[in-house]
Amino acid sequence: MALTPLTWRMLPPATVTTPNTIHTLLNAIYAAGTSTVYADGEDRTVSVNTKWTWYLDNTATPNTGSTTAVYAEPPTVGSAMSQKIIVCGSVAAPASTLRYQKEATTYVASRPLVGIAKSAGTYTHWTDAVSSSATSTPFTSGEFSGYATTGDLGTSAYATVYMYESQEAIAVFAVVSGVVRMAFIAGAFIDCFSTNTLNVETDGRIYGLTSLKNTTAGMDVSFLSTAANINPLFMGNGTALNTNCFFFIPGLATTKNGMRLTTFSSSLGTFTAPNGNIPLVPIQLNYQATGNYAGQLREIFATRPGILGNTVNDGTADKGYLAGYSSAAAGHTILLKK
Amino acid sequence: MALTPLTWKMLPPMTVTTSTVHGILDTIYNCGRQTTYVDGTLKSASSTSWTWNRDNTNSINTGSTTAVYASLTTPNPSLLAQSTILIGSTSTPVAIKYARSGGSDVWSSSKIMAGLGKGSGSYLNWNVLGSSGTGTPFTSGEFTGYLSIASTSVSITTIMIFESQEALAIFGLDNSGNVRAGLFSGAFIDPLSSDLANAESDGRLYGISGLGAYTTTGIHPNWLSGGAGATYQDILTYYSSGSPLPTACVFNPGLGSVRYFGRAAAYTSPTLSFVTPAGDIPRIPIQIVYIITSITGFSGQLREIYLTRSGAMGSLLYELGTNHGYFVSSATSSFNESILLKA
Repeated sequence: MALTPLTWRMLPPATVTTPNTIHTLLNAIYAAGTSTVYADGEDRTVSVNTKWTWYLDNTATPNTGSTTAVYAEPPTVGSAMSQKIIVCGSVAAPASTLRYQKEATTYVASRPLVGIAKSAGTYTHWTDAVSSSATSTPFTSGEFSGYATTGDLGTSAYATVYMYESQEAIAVFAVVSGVVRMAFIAGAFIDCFSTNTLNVETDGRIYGLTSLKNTTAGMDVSFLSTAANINPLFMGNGTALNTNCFFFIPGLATTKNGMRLTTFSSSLGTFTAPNGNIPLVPIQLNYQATGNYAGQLREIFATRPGILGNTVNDGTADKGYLAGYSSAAAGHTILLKK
Repeated sequence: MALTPLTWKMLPPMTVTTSTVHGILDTIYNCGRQTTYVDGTLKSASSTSWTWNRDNTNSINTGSTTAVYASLTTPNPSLLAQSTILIGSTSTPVAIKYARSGGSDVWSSSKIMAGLGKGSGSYLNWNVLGSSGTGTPFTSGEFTGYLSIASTSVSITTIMIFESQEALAIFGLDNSGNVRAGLFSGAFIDPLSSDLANAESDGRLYGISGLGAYTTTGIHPNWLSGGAGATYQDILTYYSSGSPLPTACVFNPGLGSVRYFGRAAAYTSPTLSFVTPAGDIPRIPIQIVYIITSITGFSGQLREIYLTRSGAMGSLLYELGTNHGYFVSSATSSFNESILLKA
């Protein structure tokens, strides 16, 4: 049986202030996440079911006094595994090697890190997840994925953060010169249509994360068709320099990689019905190593080429939000359904 | 809004006694006229039953079956009258219309070809309809033109037919169980819309999809994951170039002309492991797009035809005594990339 459909909402884009560092980027993520209204003007307290709570840490070392971590927890509806999402980084390298999702990952200040925890306790510090301990976590308890890269912002102006939230998952994109240089979607964003605990956690969910790779080239224009080394979303094969897509194995602290089952054409043309209707095509994921079926993205659809940040409105109401590789040009696009 | 779900049923496979165009057409006719489905239900008691007829008096090859055509026995009056026709002859037709323009897929004495009529009247004559846009083998209505589904250069020894309330699927297999011929025909795409730019007046899209006339191989074992092109012989995607050519097209709503279609995506090869960690077998909807040389728009979604775990052609998916559908793949003797026709 399908999980309760998610409702995605867009928050007002937040501008990264100068100087352009990982710290000001994290501040912008925090600012987006703590907005009092949605992008459509609705007071965020009205739609409490989608409202995530964001926190920041500016007391950790290194770079004490600057924001080095922001983390978020979902509203208390739907999923029941106490998930938390953390985004972090610092200009100065942490004293200890961090615990990474892929062991070959090295620390670079322009590459924001993201991780997901389930059954997470209280936040301690982001640097408490260290490679010397396979079970270490930035929280007092629970399981942690290890940190994954979300892209590479490089050294130019960081520009704008786009954030979308739903009852059980969030999506964050950061744009540099019109191109998405940082992106991740995290939380319970796939549905396995099953309650069997071989397939899902005890709450019927699967918790995971997908993010971009270490490159300043940005997200790929055809990110619904390209391989993990070309910088798409929803493709994870464990190779250190490739994109990330992984999920906690139900009941365990370990993760396994997921990948798109579907490879859309690199050129989707207009991809509308003859009368102009915009299709919403479900996206399926496999587990990379076994070929097992993982599930279907929750209210995240492949749709006609569009531009990050745009809203689809049928003349009466907002239907969802477009997210693609660029805030200035059309390419492969997903729609986060409202 | 989605159309009423189809229920697919399989007729008992039938052996081809003479592997000529006439013998194959006779076997399709006889297979279609059986009175029970493989699950034991009576065809006469099923809404999926089609009526099969043949033409064995045509002057082109008098005494031999040169055409077989099927229409719905008890059609829903709201549906456009559709008829599927399969033809073949050893003598050259007088004048016929093809689904492909430019002469890239035309009659030969070794080919089985098929076409679809909508708003069809009675059967008239398959080979004197003329080559114009309005030619039809029926007394009235529109016709897609013919496209290839098989070549008798390979020996076809078994026919499998699947029927549903609004669409048909027909396959021909060689004596090793490899699928050498294939056809989907009817209202097997749901446009998910009733807008007359997207769908006919009854909310359907009527179309036909043929494997082409391969002389050495049939459906490719990796047809669902393979790249575009005729190398990956595919029964549900139009290829603009290559040889031989699979052809897939639907009528433009309200018109007699057609437009070509293909799948919106390729898939990571769905092997036997394409199950959930608990072993559940997924059914993934397949979306269809319009194609000329590249995608030109969204068409719809196949009706109760799903991507699934690899399977053997013609085998049934049983779970706890319930038949969930039928695997369609490249061979009966191995587990290859498969779709499921949902029962």
